Amino acid sequence: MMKKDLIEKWLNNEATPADFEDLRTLPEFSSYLKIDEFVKKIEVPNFESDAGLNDLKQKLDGKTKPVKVFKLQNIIKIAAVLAILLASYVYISSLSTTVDTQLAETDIVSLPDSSIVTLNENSHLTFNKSSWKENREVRLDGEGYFEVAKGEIFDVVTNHGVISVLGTKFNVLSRGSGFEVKCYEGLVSVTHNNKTIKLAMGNTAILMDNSLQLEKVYTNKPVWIYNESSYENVAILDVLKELEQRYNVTVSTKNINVNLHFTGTFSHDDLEAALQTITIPLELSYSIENTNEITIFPNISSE
Amino acid sequence: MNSKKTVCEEETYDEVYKSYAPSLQNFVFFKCSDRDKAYDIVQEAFIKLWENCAKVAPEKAKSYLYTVANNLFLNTAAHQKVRFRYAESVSVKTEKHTPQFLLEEKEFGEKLQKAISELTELQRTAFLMSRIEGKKYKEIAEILNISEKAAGKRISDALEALRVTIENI
Repeated sequence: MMKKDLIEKWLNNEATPADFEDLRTLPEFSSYLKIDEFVKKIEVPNFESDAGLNDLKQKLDGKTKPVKVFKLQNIIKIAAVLAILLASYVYISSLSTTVDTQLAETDIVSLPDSSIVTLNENSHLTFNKSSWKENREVRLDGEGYFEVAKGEIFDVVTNHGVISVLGTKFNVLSRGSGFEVKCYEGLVSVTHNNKTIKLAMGNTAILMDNSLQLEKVYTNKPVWIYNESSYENVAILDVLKELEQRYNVTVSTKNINVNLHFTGTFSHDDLEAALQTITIPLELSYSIENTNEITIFPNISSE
Repeated sequence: MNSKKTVCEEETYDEVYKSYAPSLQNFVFFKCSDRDKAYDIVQEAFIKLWENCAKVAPEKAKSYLYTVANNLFLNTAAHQKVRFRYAESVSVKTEKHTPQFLLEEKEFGEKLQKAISELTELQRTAFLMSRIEGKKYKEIAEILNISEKAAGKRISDALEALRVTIENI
């Protein structure tokens, strides 16, 4: 074994008796032994753990970070966070939930009782989760198709009136001056101007000349759900307003009869086709400028 | 020590103090031979441990304490080099020996003392932890953040340096 290795082994208290035989043959080993003997006599200050710990605790107290205050601070922090969370929960849950749809966007909204509202574009629906159990009520501005779970009275409040049901499927359109309720299943009561009418399955109530008129429904879901708009005897200006929103265009009219009413459906993905379906039956023409400025005017022949 | 405990719990903290404080004081004492300074640094290191108790797991506390104590020592040493002296604490047993022998022993003690003060701080610390505290290379290596091999070399080199110095005095 190398001399160095041997010495290192000895210094790590791992030398065997055989190693000591070898070590003793080294001329410097007696010096090493003597140094080692003397070094071990060096006086090392003793350490009083308990006294030192007491001393330390006093210093820590003085540093205003003693154990108890430290823990209390943590508790206060946690309590403060909890209080804020609780307060925000109470505040948020007392707020109404609002769903908005943009142009050409529809959304499906689940209400707290698993009733479902399919919201048509550019519509605004508000309801309150926290008072839902006592009061099934939503506010609607725009158009929505409701599939209401069975239960207590369910109210849809609009600018034009209130629709009350007990569980059924129906479509409400309340936009601008237009108001229309279509009942696809069950029975719906529509209140407008303090007058209530019952709307049975397969019927639609349309606001015309300031009163609700009954019409028939021929589909079992609103057509806009299939990306079409459908009208039955609706004022041409309301139809064009819908078209403007759908395609994000401006529509102006020139010399047309504003009392024209449109019955039919227009597509949501093809502007030219939609314009044709609206204008041709009413003997109107259209022109498109700058891709989004549309002018509707009577056919030359019918002038 | 249970690894789920944290040093922030007073019980664990006290346990860590009792386990490591005495040896930590020796560590600093070997560097400076100043008992009061060593004690102060130990206490200061434990205050730091308390302030950072959430960040230091109990099993990491030892190496944390040694690192902090070493840094604290280096900070003070840089400012107060005057205090950096080796203590005269070699006591020679005065039993049944001839005056001649006693004189020789006393002289050897003084020479060794001088030789130790001439070691580098790192050599001295490693050497004294090995010889006085009987620490193994493995533990010394961990404390000094060096390899076990380097620890062994540093200690044996220190021994050889002492021998050469003493013979040349």
